[in-house]
Amino acid sequence: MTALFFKECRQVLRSLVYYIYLVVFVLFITSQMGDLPELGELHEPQPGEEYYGYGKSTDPHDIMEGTIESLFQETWRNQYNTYPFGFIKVVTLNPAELSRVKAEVEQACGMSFDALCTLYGDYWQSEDETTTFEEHMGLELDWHIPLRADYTYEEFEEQMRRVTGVIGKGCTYDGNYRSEGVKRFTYEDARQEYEDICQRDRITGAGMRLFCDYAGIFLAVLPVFVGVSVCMRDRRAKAAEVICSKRISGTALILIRYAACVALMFLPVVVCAFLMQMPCAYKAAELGVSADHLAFLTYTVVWLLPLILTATAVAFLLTELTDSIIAVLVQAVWMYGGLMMARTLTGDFGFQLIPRWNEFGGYGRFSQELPQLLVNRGCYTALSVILIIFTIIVYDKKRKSGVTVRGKIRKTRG
Amino acid sequence: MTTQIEISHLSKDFGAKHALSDVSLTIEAGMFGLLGPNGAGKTTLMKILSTLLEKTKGDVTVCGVPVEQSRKIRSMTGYLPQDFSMYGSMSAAEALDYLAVLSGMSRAERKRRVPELLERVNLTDQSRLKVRAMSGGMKRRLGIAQAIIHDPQVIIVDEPTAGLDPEERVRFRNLLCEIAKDRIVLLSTHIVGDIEATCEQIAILDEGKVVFRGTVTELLRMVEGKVYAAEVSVRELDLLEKQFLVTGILNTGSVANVKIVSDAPPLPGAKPCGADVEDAYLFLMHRKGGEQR
Repeated sequence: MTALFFKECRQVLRSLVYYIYLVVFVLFITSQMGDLPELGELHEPQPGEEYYGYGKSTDPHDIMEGTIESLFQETWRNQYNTYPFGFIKVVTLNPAELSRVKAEVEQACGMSFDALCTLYGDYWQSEDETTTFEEHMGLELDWHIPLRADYTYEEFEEQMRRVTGVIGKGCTYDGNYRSEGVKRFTYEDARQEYEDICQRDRITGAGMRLFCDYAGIFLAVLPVFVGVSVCMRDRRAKAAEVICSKRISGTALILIRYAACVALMFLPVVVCAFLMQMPCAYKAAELGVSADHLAFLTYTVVWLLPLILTATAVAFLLTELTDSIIAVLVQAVWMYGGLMMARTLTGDFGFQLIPRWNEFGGYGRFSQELPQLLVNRGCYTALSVILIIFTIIVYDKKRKSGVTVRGKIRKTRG
Repeated sequence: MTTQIEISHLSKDFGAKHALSDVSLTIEAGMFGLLGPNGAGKTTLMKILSTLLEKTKGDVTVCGVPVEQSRKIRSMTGYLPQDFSMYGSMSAAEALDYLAVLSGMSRAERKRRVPELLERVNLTDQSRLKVRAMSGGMKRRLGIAQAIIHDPQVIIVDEPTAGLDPEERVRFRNLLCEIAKDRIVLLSTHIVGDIEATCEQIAILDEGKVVFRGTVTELLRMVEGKVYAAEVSVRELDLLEKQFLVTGILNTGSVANVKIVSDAPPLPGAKPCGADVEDAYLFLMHRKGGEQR
């Protein structure tokens, strides 16, 4: 079996599709991870600094403020992003519905919607000197909607239920507002974040999460091309019949081919992760922090390997089932849907195909969401196993009956 | 374990179409020819014997093993499909080694058998030649090498000479005869010359049924005294072909020498002549309502 594994690897290495996979992946990941400004700016915060950055907040007031701000801005545009079936759907309200939502904003702030608009407009007029994206974002985060002094979290939750009733299921206010809390860091916050990155993440962990975030986007779809090409190889080469007539079991053949595919696709990911981890390791050495030198392996195995397993298994099953390249389309739609389904770019893993963590750091929140991520990745690994079992069943069925779902009767008659 | 294929009341249906109907055959060691027109069911029968198709009805045993035991059957059969090929990027030696691995052979066995087989099929000099660069004849020789690499008791060869030039065809037929010692080589073809040159035992399939089972001599006996040669005007050929079974025409200007199979002399000047397997085969097909030349 080892001999067959290496022979299958050699066949994958001879395929043009594999090299396209390699080039696209490396180009994409280097373009995204080539320069990490957060890493360069990482330093021990000192008291009295003017700016310590921004971060997510779990404080109820910050959550209420962030959520009502979001509601105000969406109402101002009359465009609400909702995810009723996982996919984005932009909702526009009719005048009556819009008035009801405006009334909720007015109740939360204790002033009219028009007055809020004036406040918002005035703020931007006074800050129109901004030039860079970062400055713009900073200003946006610095503007806070004025909430009523006696506004409570209970009242807020009740309002969100009513707003969801008007806008529809899957909107930001449908119980998903807990990640809306954003705050400007104080020295203490910045100190805590720095300690987390250095002591708990050991710098390389933060870098690898960001690596996995970017790599995951492409690994949700790229492996399907290699998988489809491997499954169609026999038929394309007119070697299917002779291979089927050999003693090897369908289980062994499919498993070995799958293993060879996954191993060869995972290898460059690990190598890239290792290389991308090096700047983090250097930075750790510079700051006198003991880096986690195995973070590249831990993160890629836990985070990215299940993605490769799943995409390849989808390719194997659908290609064996249909003798077509439909798996590419299915996986592309799944990847796109996965990206669209993500309500946030950091965390909230749920059962997302592509777990996102588009942030350098945030270990505190990540450690809270880690069990969710592990369950997510475990489920996708289990799904891959199920898909491969079905692939073996389909392959064995085709091998015995000589027909496929699309039918190959003409080919079998002579 | 007897080297024998036993087929009893075998049927195979593809939906409403009967590809094989109540086929019964016993095939002993040696070369066995399966002859029939395109669509007669030869490939279907071959695939059932190679476990690449499931039968609808009947019993099939290969060397005493029921065909349902696919893994065991696969280890004792070698199959060369009609349009054999392998991955174009592999060399002849690599392809053979790969298929040997799929046959469950150990590294040591492969190391010994691969060069041996390449030598036997006269591909030693081309052992590093990529499959995509091979001629049709080379591919067939590689195909037969892979079919026998695990030393099977039964070798199933489907239309092996189709598309080969005459020289390659003769070389390939001789190769098949060489490997037929002590084992069954089941050769399917619609080229009568292949059977005539290699097989003593034959079966003829037509529309999924066995229409003849016996020796080549027995087949020839069916047309004994029924084959005539005559010289006719080229203009008479159309009419002649409508009236009689014409098995050969040689045009020489305005006159043609024809070979006719008929119970009685077809023309006043017709003279009896020697029959060959092609005459007998066409006579049989003509009688059964098969293809007519």
